[in-house]
Amino acid sequence: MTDKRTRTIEVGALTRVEGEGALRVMIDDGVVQDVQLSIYEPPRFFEALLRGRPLEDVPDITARICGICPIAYQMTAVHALEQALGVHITPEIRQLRRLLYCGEWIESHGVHMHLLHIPDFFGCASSIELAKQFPDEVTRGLRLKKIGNRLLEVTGGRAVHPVNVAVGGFYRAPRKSELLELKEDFLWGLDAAIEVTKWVAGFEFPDFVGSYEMVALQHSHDYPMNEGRLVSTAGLSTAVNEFEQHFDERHVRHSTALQAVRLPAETTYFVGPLARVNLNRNQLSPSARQLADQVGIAWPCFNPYQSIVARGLEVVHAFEEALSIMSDYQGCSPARVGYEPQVGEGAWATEAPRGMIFHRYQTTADGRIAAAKIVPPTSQNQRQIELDLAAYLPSILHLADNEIAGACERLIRSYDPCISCATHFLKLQIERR
Amino acid sequence: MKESGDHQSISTLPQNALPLVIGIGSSHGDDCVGWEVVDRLILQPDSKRLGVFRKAAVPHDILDWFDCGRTTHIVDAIISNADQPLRLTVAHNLQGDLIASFMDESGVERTCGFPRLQSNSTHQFDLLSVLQLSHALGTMPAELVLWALPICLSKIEVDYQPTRVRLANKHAVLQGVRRITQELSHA
Repeated sequence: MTDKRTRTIEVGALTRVEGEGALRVMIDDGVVQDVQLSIYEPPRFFEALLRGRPLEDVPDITARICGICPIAYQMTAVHALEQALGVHITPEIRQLRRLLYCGEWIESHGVHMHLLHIPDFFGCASSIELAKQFPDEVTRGLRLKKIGNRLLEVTGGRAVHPVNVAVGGFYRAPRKSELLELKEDFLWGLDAAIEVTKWVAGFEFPDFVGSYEMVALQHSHDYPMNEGRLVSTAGLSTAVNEFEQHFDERHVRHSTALQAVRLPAETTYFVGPLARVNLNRNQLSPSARQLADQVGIAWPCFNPYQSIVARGLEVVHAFEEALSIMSDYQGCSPARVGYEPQVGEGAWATEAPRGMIFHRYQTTADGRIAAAKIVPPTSQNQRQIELDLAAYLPSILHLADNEIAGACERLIRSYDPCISCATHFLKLQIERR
Repeated sequence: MKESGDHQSISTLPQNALPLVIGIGSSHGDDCVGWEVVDRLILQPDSKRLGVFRKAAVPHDILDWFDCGRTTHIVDAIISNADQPLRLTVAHNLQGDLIASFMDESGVERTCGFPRLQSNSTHQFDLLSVLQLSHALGTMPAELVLWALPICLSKIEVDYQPTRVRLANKHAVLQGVRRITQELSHA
């Protein structure tokens, strides 16, 4: 192979990402001309599907967007609808929602780290190969995931597509005894998550640092989950309901997912655990905060591969915060705040495991959805991933096509993209001319 | 909570474990057969004596429930012209590869390499991967039965003829419930 000819590399389907997509790279005379991250899962039209439905259906319908992060959709939806309806939830409901979100972060980060991402750092083609080398570590990771799922079952009614989340609160609050039954597992989980984070922080990371604008929620006294202002490493600080003044979505020919851009210059931005930790390190739980200072990373960190360390810190945080909420929990009554249907509009953002997620709804006088808008994290990261690949590829063009494909997949996986959410991933085609 | 517990808590079960039956899929289209079989098995009067029942939407959730000492049945649909449910016993050979055993139409036991599943999982960790990972970690149930319930439909029918899908689903579900009940009752 030489640089001065057309070169086409194709990867049938990107592996170990959530969903299905493709990557097309065009190289002309040894120079990367274009990188297109194609999301070819068919559009799912959830926003249109919601129009005309009773607003009570929204948390259950939006939960179906993703089997890995349904809570993110439910939480963002109920908060946005409560804003539209003028509902103010109680502090107890707020804490129970944070507890539910802790379960999703633990489960989702646990799956991504152990089944999808860690194999990359040992040259393993899959977690099955990894399990042969590191059976204890993979078993530990699966147990962490299982504990997250148990918390989702207890607080959300079931682990996949939970059914207990309601506009105004919960259909049923868990009993204190139900949460206390989880305590031993969570004490084990906190220690295990610290060990996992130390383990992944010791991995060898590619020397790749981007100049990103990282965006996340920020809250006055809590690590961001269910609420906060939109802030960025470039100095943005705005209320969530002004989202559209600072962010917009664009159609691109090569993707069924919209790509989000930062206004006014239509630049890219970066959401996810690394953005959250960079912008909110001081809000981490005590153990996670201490660990962040010990893992050998100079914060803020702009190496996307080190997102896995941020994920580990967030798992530690989630276990520690969940333990705190469980210890303080005295029940939640009422489990749900009532409301009257009314014409209204509400916008909200929460922090999904993969990054900030935004919803906006309009409601009708008879309690139906007049309009819905959903901006998931992967569509916000999609263009940034393309630019990362364009920046990274020149350093690996000397490699064989299959090695380039593998390297591209590893970079993409560091973002933990969820393509099913974004279509709302990966065949790789490299075209060299 | 709107839906009553369709999952029983395994942690509360006695250790002299009842068989575990896991339906795979979702509540939609031709994907619903595994879940509907579990729903119907739960509704049987003696279901609590027959087994423990679970529904998985994401295959790797099965790993949470595997218990080496508990006979486990996994139920899913296959597109096939077969007129009877296919009962596969999953094990491994001396080389450590997963293999599946089944009775052919003449009653002769056959063994084959584990069938490569045509997975439509959007989460890149399909049932075969789950079983291979469990095998690598030594958590595979000692007896694992895979029920492949045939749905005789073309791709076009699956995509565009929901009435035919419902009829085919119902047939597959009834066959599955009958065969699995027989087996659980005689366990």
